[in-house]
Amino acid sequence: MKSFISTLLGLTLLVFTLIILEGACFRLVENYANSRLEFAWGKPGQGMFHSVLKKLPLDHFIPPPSPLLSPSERMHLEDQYATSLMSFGRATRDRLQEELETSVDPLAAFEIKDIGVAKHVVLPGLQISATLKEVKMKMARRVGDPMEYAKGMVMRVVTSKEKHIIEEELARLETVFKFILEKGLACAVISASSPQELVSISRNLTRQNPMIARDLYVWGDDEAADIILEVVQGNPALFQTIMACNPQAIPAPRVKGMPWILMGIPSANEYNDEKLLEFLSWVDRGRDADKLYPSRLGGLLRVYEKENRSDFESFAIPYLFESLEYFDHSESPREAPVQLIEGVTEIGGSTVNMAFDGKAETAFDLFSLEEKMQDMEEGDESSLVNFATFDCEIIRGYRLIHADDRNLQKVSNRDLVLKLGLGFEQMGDEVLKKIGKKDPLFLRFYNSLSEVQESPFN
Amino acid sequence: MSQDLFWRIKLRIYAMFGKHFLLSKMGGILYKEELPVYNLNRVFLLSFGIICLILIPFFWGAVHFLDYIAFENFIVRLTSSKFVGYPIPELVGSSNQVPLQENISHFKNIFVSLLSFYGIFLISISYVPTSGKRWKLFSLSLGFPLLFILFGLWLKFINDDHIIGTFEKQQLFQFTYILIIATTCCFFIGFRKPRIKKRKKAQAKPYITIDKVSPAEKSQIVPPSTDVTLNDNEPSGEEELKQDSKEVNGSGPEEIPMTENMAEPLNEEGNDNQLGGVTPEGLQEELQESSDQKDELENSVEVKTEEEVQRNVENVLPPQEIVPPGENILPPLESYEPSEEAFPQEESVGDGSKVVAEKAGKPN
Repeated sequence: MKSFISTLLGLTLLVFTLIILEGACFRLVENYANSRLEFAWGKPGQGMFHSVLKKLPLDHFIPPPSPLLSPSERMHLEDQYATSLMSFGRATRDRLQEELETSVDPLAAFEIKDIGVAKHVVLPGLQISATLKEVKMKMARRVGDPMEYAKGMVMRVVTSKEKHIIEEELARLETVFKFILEKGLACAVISASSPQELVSISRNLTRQNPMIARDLYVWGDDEAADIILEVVQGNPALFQTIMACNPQAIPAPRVKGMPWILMGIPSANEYNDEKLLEFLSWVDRGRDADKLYPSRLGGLLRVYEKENRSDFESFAIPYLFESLEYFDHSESPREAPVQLIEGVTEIGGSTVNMAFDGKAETAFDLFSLEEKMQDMEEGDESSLVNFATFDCEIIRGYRLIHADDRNLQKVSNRDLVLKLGLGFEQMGDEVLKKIGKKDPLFLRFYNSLSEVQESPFN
Repeated sequence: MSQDLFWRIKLRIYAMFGKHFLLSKMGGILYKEELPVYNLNRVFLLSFGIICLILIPFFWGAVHFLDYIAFENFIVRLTSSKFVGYPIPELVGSSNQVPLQENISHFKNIFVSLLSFYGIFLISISYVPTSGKRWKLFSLSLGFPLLFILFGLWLKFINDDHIIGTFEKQQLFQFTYILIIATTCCFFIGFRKPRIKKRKKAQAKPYITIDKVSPAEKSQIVPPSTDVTLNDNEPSGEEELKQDSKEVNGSGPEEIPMTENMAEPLNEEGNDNQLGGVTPEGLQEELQESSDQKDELENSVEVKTEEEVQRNVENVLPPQEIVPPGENILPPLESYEPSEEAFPQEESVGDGSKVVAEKAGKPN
């Protein structure tokens, strides 16, 4: 008995030590932290939860806070959610801290030049050879000429027009910029006193320097943050990621496919529920996406101590890197923002409002719907996968018969369901019914897809 | 009378360095007497425990009555200092933002509980009978808290959103290295198995392989020297245990049969060869006596025949495992001469002039 207890204690100690070692690696080793995130979520462009790992209590799998909570409570939970989800970035933040403490003249190795209206743009020094396309676009003289490029451009927006303030800001952020430049992003401090000015600068940069400012990542504090949010309100597709620290409560656009949004709110400020709802609506809109990465990281809210604003800056850097990683790995460009149906969002909004008034019992129950969806997800994952890929017996059989047809390989299951279903329908209702009896899943797919096709919004 | 007094003084000095009882030789009978314990580690633990307990009222008084500024300064400095980027109050369950008085009170409570726990614990373990157990308990009482502190800090660090720079990283790793080494040492001492078990294991299978040795090899096996075997007075594990139990239970003087190997006082480990580095000058006479006894023993060996030696060997080893001695096992008695190296102490202790005379008489 004594030996059994000592063996058990020894094993417990061993397991505990291993857990701590793993945690220490995740906490301190940047590459391991990023690898674990990728292992848990899959590649940035095609994320999917790991089926085994998601059963473990890891930070990557915590669900977002429920929108039915009261705003103040939810704000606190959103902060915790953001902290846990971004825990993989702590090693990067440590490195940034070390750079801030030790680096001397950090931008010495980088070229700084004026690009159009943007002054003092720091370039990462990446080069590629020009292709025929670039020559035709008159961006290069000959094919093979070296061309300077960047994976995107980080714009630090300030509202002041005074030169010394812009230079001070650049000097203050030198180390941070160096950190960003190493990731292949160009950096600049941009002065914009109004949303219109910021829109114009951004469009000019993107149009005139597509090799450098193809993707824009914007970052601003206080009034600059307000300007950024106002720009996004009208032009959600202009920026890839926005980092707004201490903005005013501005209503979020009713759009799906927003840029990634990181919002910083000082803890000392006391906001009423309405203002908090405005902030939370930005976060919700940011997370409203079909893919895993943006659906989790697309909208985050960070509460920071007012006297410790550098904490938000430090938090924003790994967030910026992760968004860059996502957009860099995504094969297709970011989905164009889609205007949400006014009525539906209003219903949604009123439901949320009613929920924390305690009157939601009779209204559309969003919470139970979400629970139901989660149950379905846990219960039958394979059927969901089939549903998403429109994989059914008829389609498989059809593809098998026409295996030699190369053109068919380019056609998606969705289009094939529509095409075949339409063909069966034209042959007569009975034919479609018979097919439905043979493969009910196909009929279900066809009915739902044809309804979507016939929708007036489509 | 003066001889008895000398014995008592001498053995009390021994007792201070780990001897539990003294053996006094009066009228040809050896007496064993339990001594009051002056064991050095026991004295250390007891006094350290008492100091810990004495410090408790000092802390109380410093905070509540004496308005002791140095102590307050110490707490203030502690409150404002950081460890691995964490404010010290945060590490002990308080916060940097609470008022100073609360922090002082919190630190006072922590100090008092630590001191009272270790004070009582150290005093308690000083009453543990054997020195080994005392050290084990002491090292475990340090090892477990250190391990919990190490794990606690790392768990906090892993779960917190706490960003650290180069200096904090160095602090963290130094702290970790030191605690790992300290904890390992403490656990090594705390969980070390007693030597008794090893001896028992060694005794469990004595001379098992000797029967499997080929006859040719058997002839080369030399049985242990009779001198060594007969003088081997190291107590076995069981004897040690018996001695321990006697130490615990015995209270007054006790008459015990006298043997040759009880000429020296025993310590609590049962190791009679350890004098703890103490060589009182008064021991000179005793050493002279013992050298005389060895001379006698040497002479008796010279007189013994080969059969007598063999009989002695048989008495020491179990009869079924005795290897019949070949002709080469022992040198012929005529050629046996005790070498000078066998008794090196004779040169220093015995009569020097006699030795010189004997050497001079030997043909080269």
